Amino acid sequence: MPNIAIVDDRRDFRRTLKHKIELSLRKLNQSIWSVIDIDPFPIIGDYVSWIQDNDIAILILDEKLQEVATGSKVDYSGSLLIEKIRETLKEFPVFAITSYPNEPDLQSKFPLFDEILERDAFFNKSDEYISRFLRAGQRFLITHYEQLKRLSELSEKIALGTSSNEEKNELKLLQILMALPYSHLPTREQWLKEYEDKLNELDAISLKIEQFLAAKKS
Amino acid sequence: MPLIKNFKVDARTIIHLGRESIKDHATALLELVKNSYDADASVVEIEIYKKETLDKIRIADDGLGMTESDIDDHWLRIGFSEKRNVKFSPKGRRKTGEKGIGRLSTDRLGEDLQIVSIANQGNRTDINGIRICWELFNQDNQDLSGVPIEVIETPLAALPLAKKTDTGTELIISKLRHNWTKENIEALRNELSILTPPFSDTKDFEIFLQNDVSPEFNGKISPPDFVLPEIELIMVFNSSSSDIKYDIKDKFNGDKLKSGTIKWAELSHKVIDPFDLPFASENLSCGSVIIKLLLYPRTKALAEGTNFSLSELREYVDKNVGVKIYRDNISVKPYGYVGSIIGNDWLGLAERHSRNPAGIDRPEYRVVANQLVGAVFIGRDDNPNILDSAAREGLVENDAFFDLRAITLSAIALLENHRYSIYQVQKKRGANTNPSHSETAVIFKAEVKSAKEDVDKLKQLIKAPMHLFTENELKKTVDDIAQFVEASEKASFSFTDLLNHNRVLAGLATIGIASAVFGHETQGAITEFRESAIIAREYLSIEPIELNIIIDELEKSIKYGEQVAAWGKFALSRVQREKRKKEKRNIKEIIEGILNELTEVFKPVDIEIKNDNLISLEAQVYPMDIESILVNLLTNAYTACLQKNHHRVIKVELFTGEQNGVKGYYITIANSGHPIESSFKDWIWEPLNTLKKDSTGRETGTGLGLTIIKSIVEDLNGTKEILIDEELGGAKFKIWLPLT
Repeated sequence: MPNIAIVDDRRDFRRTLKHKIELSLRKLNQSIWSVIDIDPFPIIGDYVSWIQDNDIAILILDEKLQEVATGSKVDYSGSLLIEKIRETLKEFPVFAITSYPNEPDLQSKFPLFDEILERDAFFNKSDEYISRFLRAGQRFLITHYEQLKRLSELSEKIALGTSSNEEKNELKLLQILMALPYSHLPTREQWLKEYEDKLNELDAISLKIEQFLAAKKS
Repeated sequence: MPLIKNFKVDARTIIHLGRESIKDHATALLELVKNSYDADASVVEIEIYKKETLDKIRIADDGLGMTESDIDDHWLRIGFSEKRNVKFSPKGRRKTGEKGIGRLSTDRLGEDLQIVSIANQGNRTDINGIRICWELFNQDNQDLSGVPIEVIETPLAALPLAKKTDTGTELIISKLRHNWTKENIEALRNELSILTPPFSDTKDFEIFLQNDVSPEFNGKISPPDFVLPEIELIMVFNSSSSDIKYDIKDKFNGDKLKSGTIKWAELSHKVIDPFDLPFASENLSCGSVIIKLLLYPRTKALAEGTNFSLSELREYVDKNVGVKIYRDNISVKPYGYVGSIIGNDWLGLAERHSRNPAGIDRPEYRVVANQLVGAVFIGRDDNPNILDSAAREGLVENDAFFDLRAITLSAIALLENHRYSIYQVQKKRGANTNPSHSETAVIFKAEVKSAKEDVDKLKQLIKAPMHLFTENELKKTVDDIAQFVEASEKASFSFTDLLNHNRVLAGLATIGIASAVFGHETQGAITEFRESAIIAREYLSIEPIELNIIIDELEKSIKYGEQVAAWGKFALSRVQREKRKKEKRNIKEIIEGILNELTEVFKPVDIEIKNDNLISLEAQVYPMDIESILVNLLTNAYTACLQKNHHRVIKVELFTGEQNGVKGYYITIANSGHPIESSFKDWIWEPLNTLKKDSTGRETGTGLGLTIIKSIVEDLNGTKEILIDEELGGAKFKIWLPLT
């Protein structure tokens, strides 16, 4: 079941937003979707795995994530969080809903968001916005699902040694598209050669360190 | 062949033409300076020595000078005027006199004259000199041609120090006939200053005055400095066309000109002449004319945007007031000259105003004569019908003169109409007719100066024995005292008003700063208040009813509604009128009032307020000052607390304490944010300096809050310091104020 997640340190605000979205989902007969609301995580790097592990298909952020004295050590804003998420999830739908959409910090990250909305504007046309959110979420899910399926097929072929060069290139492109860590060396020989080169470089550095220390001693 | 007889000219004739036909010695001297102008001089030096061993007037110029034949055939030939035949000087100046008697002005000034002139004669310079003893002409039965004129054998001339040529003329008049006084010198200086019009650049003709009667008037004579008038009108009539063009601009609309073209047949209806003198209704006979009018209302607005005091500017207007006629850029007396008994108010402005003294709010408004500075430019060639009168001063009052007068009056009518119009526009805009504070400041300065002058006068009077006072002097003394008291009261009110104005501005700025800081909170609360109510209503309309959600949303709506109301109350109550009055107030109550109003703003971000250490004390204060200090410090503390997301605390304390033997009280506000580094402790109080920054390092504070506090504390003779609060770890602002 896909989820819409709201991240805001103001519990009151995020619960109102949650209730509003749930109301729109009911009106739009989109019972497949659920809405979850959370406090910001203390560690900014925890979001990507959380998104992937919890079937989050749409993320809604507030800009100010440290207004309430929660006791946690949140030291980032919505605009910093989107930057972190985009390092990994290039196509993942992320929206900002805030009382101050024109804050310079937020506007500087405008291209990274799917949309930045004023809270009032969202509430005034919540059904329309939710429809738009859902379309983005569905597109992400479909693309993500198909990419995962193809990734599986190609990985299997490579493991079996039956893949063509074209398929190897396709896998490489898919890995780039999905922001997955990938190996760009198609053969074991090439890999070994590069590995050896790196070892040689390290060896050279080690030698320089030894020489430097010896000179220092004398 | 018939017998022929000849007139014999008595030597005394020259005295009638010179000494007796020139009005006064200042006018006589002015005539000689005009001769220098006609001779293309760039510089004229005038020296008047009447004290000590010297008794002479020296006038030296760097004009063209005179050759021997010039002196013999022109200067010594009474009634000869080259200006009749050669109207323009080589520099293109239009020559000013025609009757050839200006040189006789020297007789008006002193008994003896020495004239030495250096002129170009072919390829060389020629220097010639003569001496005239005017008293030799004052003899019975003496024929004019029989009076000897001495030729100086080895003439020497001292031309002006700043001369621009090697030619020129030096006149030395000795055995002066008049005892020059300070008033005479001042009158001469004033007349010299307006010898050329203040409307055009006349730097090519410099006059330097040196005298030992009133040395304060020595130096270069400069035209009156230009001061921005309320309205400036320029009207141009070219006799080759019947069109009259005009441009009007005013200080309210800056450089935006109102321009127009009108036929005299239409404009002539605008002429309002109290004397109903005749003028042409269609074709003006006066010839081409340019009229420039400057209106200087004698109000405090006159001094706005200038470096002059109101009294200085009033003096300037006094000096230049009047609509003068300039013929070839030289003024024609007595038109527009306030000192002249006849001809001064040649337009009848005073009469116009007294017949209809309506103010500028009425369409029949008439300009007050002493507010108008004007120039009517004519030329001998362009205006051949305007003739000099034989009496040496003034113009012949013929049809052309009356037409000139009428067109000038029409220009004045346009100016009056414009002034009425701009007043109406201002009135519609709801312009405040009360003086602005800058105006008030100008009034204040002028009135203090005036009061000081009154005190000086009173001191002089007090020194004299009582029995020497005349009734009038006593009455004047009483009037002066009343005037002084009135001026002092006005000044006091003005000053209080200014302070109150600043107080309100500081209060409003404080609200602005607080709004910027708490704005996010408030905006969020407004949305939350409204949306929670809407969501609750929407959930009520769908099945199945989810009661928990409805209750949750309604509770939030109430909570945030209270928060919004609290903020509104806080903002509205900051600049209430009663808070601008100095009164005895309990400081603890003021602090608690502010804290109560801000609780709803602090609560959502979990800021705890500690105010256990507030002692009850009363002080003589302007409540708005104390509130501005508190709100700005609390706003700072709010922002500082948000720097950390746990244990957010603001601590407010109030306790008594003395400084330098003065009883007072301390207000301290500390927070749990980061402390302020010692290097910033002075810098932070200065305008536009702020430590509030966003995550990208961009400054987000206004840098005004602490400056407002500094200003208030300094005004109240208090002190301020920034410490580190040992308990909370953040900054602690400590303000000390005297009790009274």
